[in-house]
Amino acid sequence: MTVKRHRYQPGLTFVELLIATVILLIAVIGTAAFRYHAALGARKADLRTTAARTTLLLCEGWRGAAEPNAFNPETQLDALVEDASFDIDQLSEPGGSLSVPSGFTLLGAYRITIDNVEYYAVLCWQDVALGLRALNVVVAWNQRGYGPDSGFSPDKSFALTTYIDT
Amino acid sequence: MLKKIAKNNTGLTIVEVMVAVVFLGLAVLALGLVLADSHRGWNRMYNRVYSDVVTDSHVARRTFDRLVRQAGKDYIQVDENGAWAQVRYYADTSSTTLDRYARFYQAGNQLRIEHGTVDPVQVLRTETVCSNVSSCLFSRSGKAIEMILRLDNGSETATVMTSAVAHN
Repeated sequence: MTVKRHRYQPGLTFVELLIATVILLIAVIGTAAFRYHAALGARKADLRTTAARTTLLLCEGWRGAAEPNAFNPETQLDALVEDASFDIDQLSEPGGSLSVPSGFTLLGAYRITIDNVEYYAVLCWQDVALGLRALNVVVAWNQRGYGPDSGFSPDKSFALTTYIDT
Repeated sequence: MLKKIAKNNTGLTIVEVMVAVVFLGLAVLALGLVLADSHRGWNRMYNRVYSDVVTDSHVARRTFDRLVRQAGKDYIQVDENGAWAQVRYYADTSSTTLDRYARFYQAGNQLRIEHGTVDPVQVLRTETVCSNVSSCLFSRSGKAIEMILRLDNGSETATVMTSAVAHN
């Protein structure tokens, strides 16, 4: 009587291996994309929040100024903030692609550096009616957050307008 | 008839087992690193939103804005060194004059507000707005008061730069 010997060698075929690799790859890419977008979203939110707060700071300071035409946030804030994480410099003209809206008069343009991120601010005003003046503050920044001396091309901005009696 | 049972005597060699263990170990290590990094990232994000210095900074900003916005524009006082700021406000809707005052100042590592009556000058209560204050400076710009508040709990810092206009 002959003994029939079955040879059984379980293993993975090439196709099975490919499918497993693809599934693993999709999972890894999905996780990496999720983490990247979560970090990017957090950074965008951080930049936007800082810009909004800076705009409000300038807007309220300008609105409350005794002489609105003489308001200068550089002298106002530089004296108060002695911190390397904050710096404000006046510019001769609006930075980057920023411009003064039609009909408005430029009060000042500023470069504000907060935590190594540059923001450009434009303050301008317009008399919209007799005794009523609109104060417009625009703060722009680069969403990708280029640091100082790396060029500036704002792709996001935050604007606030308030009104005062004149 | 005897049923022949096919015997499968094939198994894993020690080398195969070792290779499998190494691969499994690498996979577990990679997963562990990803999980640990995710946890660190989550903690960092959570602290940026909910840590004590951040929540304190929100409270300080809102309290300052609320009080200064309801204050009288003609009764703003700020220390020449920026150590304190004082405003007057209406106690309630029946008040005909700015009969209350609020004084912001730093006491130790706390930002406090002293509330009191104007005439006669009498302290009613002292409110602690937030802790972990490392410095607090005020300045005046016409009808507006600026506050630069720095918070530091040893591991995290937060800076509040806010400005509010007195409306009354």
